Amino acid sequence: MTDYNDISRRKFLSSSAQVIAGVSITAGLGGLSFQAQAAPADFLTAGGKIGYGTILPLSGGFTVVSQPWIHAIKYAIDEQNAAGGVTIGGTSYEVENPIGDEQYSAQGGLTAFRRQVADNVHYSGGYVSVEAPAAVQGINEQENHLIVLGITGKDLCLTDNKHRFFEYALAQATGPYMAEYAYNVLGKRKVGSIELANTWGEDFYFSFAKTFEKLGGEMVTRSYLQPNQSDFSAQISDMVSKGVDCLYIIMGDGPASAVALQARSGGLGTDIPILAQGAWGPEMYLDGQGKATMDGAIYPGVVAYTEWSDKHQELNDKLYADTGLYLNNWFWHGYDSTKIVLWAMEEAQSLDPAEVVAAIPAVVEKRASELMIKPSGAIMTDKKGVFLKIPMTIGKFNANADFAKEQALVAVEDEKYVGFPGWMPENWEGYTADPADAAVNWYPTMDELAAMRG
Amino acid sequence: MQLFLQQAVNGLMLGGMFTLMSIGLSLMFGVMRVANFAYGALYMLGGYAAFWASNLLGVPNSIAIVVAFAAAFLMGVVMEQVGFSRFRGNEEATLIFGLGVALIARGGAVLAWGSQTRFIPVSFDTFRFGGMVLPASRFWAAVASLLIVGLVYLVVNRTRWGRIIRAVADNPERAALAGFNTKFQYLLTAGLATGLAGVAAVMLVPVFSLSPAVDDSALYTAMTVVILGGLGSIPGCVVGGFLLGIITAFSYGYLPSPIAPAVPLLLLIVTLALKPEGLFGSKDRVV
Repeated sequence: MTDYNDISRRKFLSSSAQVIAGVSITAGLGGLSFQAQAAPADFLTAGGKIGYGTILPLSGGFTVVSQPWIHAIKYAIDEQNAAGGVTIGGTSYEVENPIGDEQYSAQGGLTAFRRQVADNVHYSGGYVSVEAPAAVQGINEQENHLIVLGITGKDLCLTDNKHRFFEYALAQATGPYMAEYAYNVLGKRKVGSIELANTWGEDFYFSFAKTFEKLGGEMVTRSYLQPNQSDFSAQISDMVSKGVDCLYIIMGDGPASAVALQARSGGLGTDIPILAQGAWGPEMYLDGQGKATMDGAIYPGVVAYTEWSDKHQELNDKLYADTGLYLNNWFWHGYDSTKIVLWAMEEAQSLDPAEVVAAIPAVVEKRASELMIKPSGAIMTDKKGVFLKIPMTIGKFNANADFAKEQALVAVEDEKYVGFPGWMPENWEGYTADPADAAVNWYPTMDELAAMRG
Repeated sequence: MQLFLQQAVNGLMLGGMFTLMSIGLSLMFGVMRVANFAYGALYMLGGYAAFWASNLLGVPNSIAIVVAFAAAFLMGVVMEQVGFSRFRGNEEATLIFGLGVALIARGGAVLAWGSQTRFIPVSFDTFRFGGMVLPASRFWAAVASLLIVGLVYLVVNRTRWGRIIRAVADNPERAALAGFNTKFQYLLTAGLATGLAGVAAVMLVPVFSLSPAVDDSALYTAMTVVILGGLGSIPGCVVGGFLLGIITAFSYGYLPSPIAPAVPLLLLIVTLALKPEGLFGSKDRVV
């Protein structure tokens, strides 16, 4: 027993050091044991299943985009469940797929997200609007919730967020290829653009414009649209008056259809090619007028969008039976990315999103051949989550294709534009910089991209 | 200068179309004192009637107009019978009923026909003069719109039936004492008003395209026009339509993106602040 009346300074310091060391070791072990004790059960829903939610619009115009996406996630989960579920530590867990209505708005997305969090769902995919994931960003990290999303825009997908799996190509990577194709292959010099007025639209505009102008082309008009806008005569007239020879529509679905229709009837005839970004697919070409308006539109899609295999046929048949829609680019946002996350759980032998997200690059490397989108790997960043390396292909829409049996998007002939890198090089400063930092080259030209890739 | 003139012409054509889009709503309010918040949904359903008549049955536009008018007329009659007649005088109930019908119609349209954008065949022909481009589809839609609006004006102001509904609108009790069946007149007016929404859809869907989501923009446009021009005034509706068309064309043509969509709303707010009854409205106005 220590005699406190007789304690010396040396003894006091020695004892204190032992106590501090003991506490530190205990705390350290406690921390370690806490991580080790983050049992799968902590991440299961009330039904004892793994919750992998979908958050996408369930009503309104954008359901035409989200329906294939919703079903893609569901099909991937169904396949995993049919194969025995997700196996962690010798135990298999079934995956359930709660669906929340994003309502194409911040409030809708946030409400759906919070409901899933309340149900102990730690994974969600989808988020078609810019507003919904922007509202969820940050909160998802606090809630230890991995969000899987693919809507580009530097102020959205290049912010700090470790619990994020970015499953699509970056505008910065595809824009220069589209610009070069327009200038070198199509021989176009005067582009008129109309973009959705947000960070997504801005990214696609600048990533195209920088290269196009460097090549010698001119962006003669830059105009904007709102999702609920119906009349575009003012913007089209401006383009006609300035003699544009190429129309760049940075928006999909209904507004894009309306822009194209009004452009064709407003003086930009079918001899003027349409370059497209966003939700473009067979659903726009079901009617004769749609075909006449948009046939031949040029679009960068994932490789799977330009191919057709038995698996494509199987998925297309199932999707059509369930929704009356055909495979489109948005289907490929949800299908493989969901599988990757579920496989990453097994790879990490954990259901903790912090560990699962770290396992994604290894899974992609090991199982790329099983994926339809043929990823070339994944880039793990320090603070911004994981970015999938997706090859992209520029194609032309064949509006007269039999969508039940063949792809809508036909790859162009020039091999340079088939399977090109849809990701930014790992040494790009955008992966580490603050999106507000004006000193960063956020939209490198094709030459600058090539230099970065070495 | 040429672009300025082009935008002015765009605005005039758009104004003609906005007027047609709004005339039914104006008529309904003028005669029945009903703010029909399902109006945009009825426009949308009229568009689908026209779409199926045109694309499935392959009938010409003239027949599609009849089909859309008949379908929308019937919906208007049912709405009057089931809802508006019961809630007359109760503005909150009328508003909620209209919004409820709109929600059901929109959801039903998605379930029934999907949310894909649909098109009615339209010509890509253009008229060109003096360096200006007039899309033929837009030009004829604007001309037809004005003809239809003119016809409605003549019916309301120059025919016996027009006198009857104006009498009903002015004082339903006195009209009933004079021997007019006011309930029947309300049914007819509701049918005509929503039928006009269907006709507007046939004329305008080829220009703007169609999806279940168009109801919002149609209702917003019609409400703006009717409030600008003066609730229930047909001449006011014409002026409101052209004003909105021209303001829209110039604001989108010349102003920065974040500001342009707000300008028509700003106009509406200023009008409401300075002349709450609208440009041609008066507290006692009857169509």
